[in-house]
Amino acid sequence: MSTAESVAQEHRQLLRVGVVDCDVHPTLPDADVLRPYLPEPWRIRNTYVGKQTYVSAVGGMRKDAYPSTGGPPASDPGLLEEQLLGRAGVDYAVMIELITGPVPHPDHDVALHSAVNDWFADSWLGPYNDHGRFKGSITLPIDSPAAAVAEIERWAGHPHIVQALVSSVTHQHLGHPQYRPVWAAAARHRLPVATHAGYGGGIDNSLSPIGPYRYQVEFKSITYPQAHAAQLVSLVCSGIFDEFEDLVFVFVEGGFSWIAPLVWRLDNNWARLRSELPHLRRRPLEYLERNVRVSSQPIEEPGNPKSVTRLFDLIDADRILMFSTDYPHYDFDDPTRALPPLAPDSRERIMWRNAVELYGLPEHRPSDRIDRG
Amino acid sequence: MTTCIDVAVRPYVATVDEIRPYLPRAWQDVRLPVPWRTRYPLPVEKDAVGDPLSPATAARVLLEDGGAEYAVLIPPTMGLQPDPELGGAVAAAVNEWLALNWLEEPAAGGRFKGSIRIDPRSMDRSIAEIERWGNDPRFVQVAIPLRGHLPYGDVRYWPIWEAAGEYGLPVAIDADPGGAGVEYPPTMTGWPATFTEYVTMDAWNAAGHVASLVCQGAFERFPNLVVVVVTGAFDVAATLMWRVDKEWAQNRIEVPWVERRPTDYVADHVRYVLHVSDGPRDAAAFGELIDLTASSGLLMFGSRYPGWEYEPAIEARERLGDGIREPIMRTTAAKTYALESRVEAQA
Amino acid sequence: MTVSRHVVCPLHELPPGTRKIVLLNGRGPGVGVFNVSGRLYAIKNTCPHQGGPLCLGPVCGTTRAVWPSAGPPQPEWVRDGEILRCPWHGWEFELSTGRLVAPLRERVKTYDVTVEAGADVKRLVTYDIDIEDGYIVVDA
Repeated sequence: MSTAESVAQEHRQLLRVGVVDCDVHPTLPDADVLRPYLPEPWRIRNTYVGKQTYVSAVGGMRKDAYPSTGGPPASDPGLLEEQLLGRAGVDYAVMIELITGPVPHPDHDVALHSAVNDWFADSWLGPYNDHGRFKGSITLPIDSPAAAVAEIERWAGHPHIVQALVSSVTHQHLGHPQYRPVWAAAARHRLPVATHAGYGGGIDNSLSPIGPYRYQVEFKSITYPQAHAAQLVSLVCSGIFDEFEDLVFVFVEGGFSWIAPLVWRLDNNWARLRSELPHLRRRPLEYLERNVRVSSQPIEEPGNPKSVTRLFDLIDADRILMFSTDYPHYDFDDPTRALPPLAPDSRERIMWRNAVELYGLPEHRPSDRIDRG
Repeated sequence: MTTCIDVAVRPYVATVDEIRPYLPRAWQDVRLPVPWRTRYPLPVEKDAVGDPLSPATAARVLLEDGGAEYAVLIPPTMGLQPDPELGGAVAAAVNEWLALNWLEEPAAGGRFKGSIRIDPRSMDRSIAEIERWGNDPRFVQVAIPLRGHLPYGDVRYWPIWEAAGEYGLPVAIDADPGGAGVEYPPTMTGWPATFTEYVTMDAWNAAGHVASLVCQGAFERFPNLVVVVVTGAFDVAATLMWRVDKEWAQNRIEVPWVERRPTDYVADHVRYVLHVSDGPRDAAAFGELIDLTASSGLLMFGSRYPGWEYEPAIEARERLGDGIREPIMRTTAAKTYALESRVEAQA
Repeated sequence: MTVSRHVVCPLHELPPGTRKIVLLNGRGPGVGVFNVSGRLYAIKNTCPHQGGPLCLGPVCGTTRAVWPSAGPPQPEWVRDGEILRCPWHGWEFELSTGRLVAPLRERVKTYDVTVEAGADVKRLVTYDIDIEDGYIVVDA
C-alpha cells in the first residue's frame, strides 16, 4: 500500500464512541474578546463576564488546567484537547458557555447572550473544531422570550449546535406561560433545552428560600439541585410536555440523585392533589423517560458508592442519566473513576448512548489528529 | 392491638379569635393573619375524619382507632410576622391555648403531648417560652417554622439550641400554613404557580436547614441537639447530604469545624417524620430506599392529622417491611421523646 | 511487590521549595519527590479519589477549628508545609504519612526517601556520578 493510500485509510478509520461529556465549559481568554461582538452601548461598557457569590475554598478550577500561554482554564483549545479529549478519553464534548453575569438591564442581557453565541460559533464551533468533536448550546436570554426565540431561529441549523441553554434561576419558573414561545421554537427545531446553574435576566442565584448560607459547601450542595427541581416541577405541572411531547430538558451540574426523591414526591403529591392539575395527560413519573435527562456531575459520593448504584436501579437511571465531567472546574468527574459500580449495559447507556440518542450524534467517529497524538 | 406513637398531629383553630384571649392585652386588638392564610389555597378538601377542630374527635381517631400510645401535637403558627415580638407573643398564646384546650382533653387521658411554639427571631421570648414549659411533662419538644430569614445552623439561633438542650428537648421544624408575607420565596426561582408545586418544593427547605446545622458547626457545639424534620422528605435530605459529604471532603478547609463526615452527624442528630409522599409506592422499593439511604433509624411515624397529608397508622404500617416497622411506628419516637412505652413497660 | 531503589538527582538539584516527578521504570504517573524546607518527602503521584495528578498540587497548610467562648467557630491556619493538596478536588494529604486531613479511610502511598553518598549510589546508575555529592534516593 502506498503512503497516500495508507493515510487515506487512516482518515477513514472509525472509532467507536465511548464517552460523551455533557458538560464542558469553554471560557473567554479575556473579557475584551467579547467586545467586537457587542453592539453599543454595551461594547464600551464592562462586558460583565461571570460572577459568583460563593466560590470553592480551594479555587474553582482544576489547578493543572491553566494553559502555559496564559488565560484561564478552558480558554486554550490545545490544552483542552490534550486533557479532555486525549487523556480523559472524551469522544464528544457538549459545551455549555457560562459567560454572562446577572445583568439587570434586559437589553444588556440580550446583547450579551447574542454576543456569546457569535463568539462561540467563531471559535470553538468554528476554527477550533476541525475534528468536529465540540458540540454546543445556543445560550438564551430567557427572560426576554422574544429575543430567546430569535436566537434559536438564528442558530438552530448550525451543524454543531445540539441544544439550547438557559439559566436554572429565572424570573418565573420555566413552566410559566411567558416562556411557552421559547419551548415551541425549541420543539420546532427538535432541540433539547439544557438548564445550568448560572445567570440570566438579572437574576442572581445566590439567595435561598431560607436566607443566605455562610459557606460554599452547604450552598452549592443544596441550592444547585434545588433550582433544577423547582424548574422541573414547574415544567411538568404546566403541561408543556403534553403540548410538546418530544421536548426534552437536560438538568446540568446538579448531580443526579436528587431527581429520584423529587419525582417520587411530585408523583405522590399529584395523586392527592390532582384536581388542581386536570390538564395533565399523564402522571408525573411518566414524563421522566420521555422528557427529562440529567447530567451526572458532581456524582454523589456517600460513604458506600454502592448506595448510588442502588438508587440508580430504583429510578431507572439507565434511561435518563448522561455522563459529564464539568471540565475545567475543580470538581471535575473523571470518566474512568467517578461513577459508582455499574453493569456493562448501564455503563454504556450512561457514558454515551443516552447522549448519542438525545443529541443525534454518531456512534462512530473518524479518528483524528488527537487520536494520533 | 398493634400500637404506635404518632409524632405529627396538627391541631388548628378555626379563627384567630380563639387565640386572641391568650395574647397580652396590648396586642389583643391587632390584626392577625387569618389562620391558614396563604397564597396557595388548598385545592382539595382537607382529608380529615370528623370535626378537625375537636380534641375529642382527634383522641378517638388517633388514640383509640389509630392505636397511638401518644400523639405529639404541633400547634399552628400564624406564619412569619413582620414583628418578631408579635410573632413571639402569638407563639406564647398558642402554647397556652394548646395546653388548656388539647393537652387536658379528657378523652386523651394524658396521651396528647405538646410542642412549645417559639418565633426564633425573637430570642428573649423564645428562651422565656422554653423556660416556661421546659419542665412541664406535657411538652416534649420545641417547634420552629420551616421558613425563616436564616438557615437554622446560623450562630444567631444557637441560644435556642442551648436552651432546648438544657431541658433535653428536641427541636421540630414544621411548615407554616403560609405567612404574613415577609418570608422569602419558597423556591430558588420565586413563587411557583400551583399548590402542588409549592408543597413539593417547600419540603426541600428542611434539607437546607439540616445542611447548615452540620456545616456551621451547630451539631459540634451542641452534641445533644436533636432536630425533628416534620415536613419529612428524608430521601430528599439524604441524597442532598451525599452531596455535602463530597463537597466537604473537597473544601474541608472552609469548614474545619465539621470534624466528621456530614452524614454521620445526621445519623446522630436528625430525625425525619415519615411522609405519605416519601419515596416510591412499591413497598419493596420503599424498603430498599430506606436501607440504601441508611434511614431506618431516622424515621418516625406521624399521621399529620387532620390535613391533606393525613396518613392513618394502618396505611403507614402497610408500607413498611418487618424489620423496620417497629422502630418507625414506635420505638424511635419513644426514644427520641423519652416516652415510656406501655407495651414495653408491660413486657 | 518488589521495591527497588531509584536515584532521583543530586541533592543540590532539589533545593527547598522545589519538587520533581520521578517516573518509575520510565512510566507514569510516577512519584513526586519534594524538598520542603530541607525535609524530603516522596509520595505517589496519583490521588486515590479519582486518579488526579496529586503531585502537581500546592504544598501548603490546612485549617483547623478554633472555638471562642461565644460566637461561631473560626478557621485557623496550621501545619504550613506539611500538606499536599490535590490539584483536582482539593483533597488534603499529609506529606509524611499519605493520610488525609479529613477523617476518611483513603490514603496515598508514601515512600522512603534518603540522601546517600555518590559513592554508594554509583552502582545503581549508568550515568556519571560525582562521588562527592549527596544523592536523593527513593525506595519504590
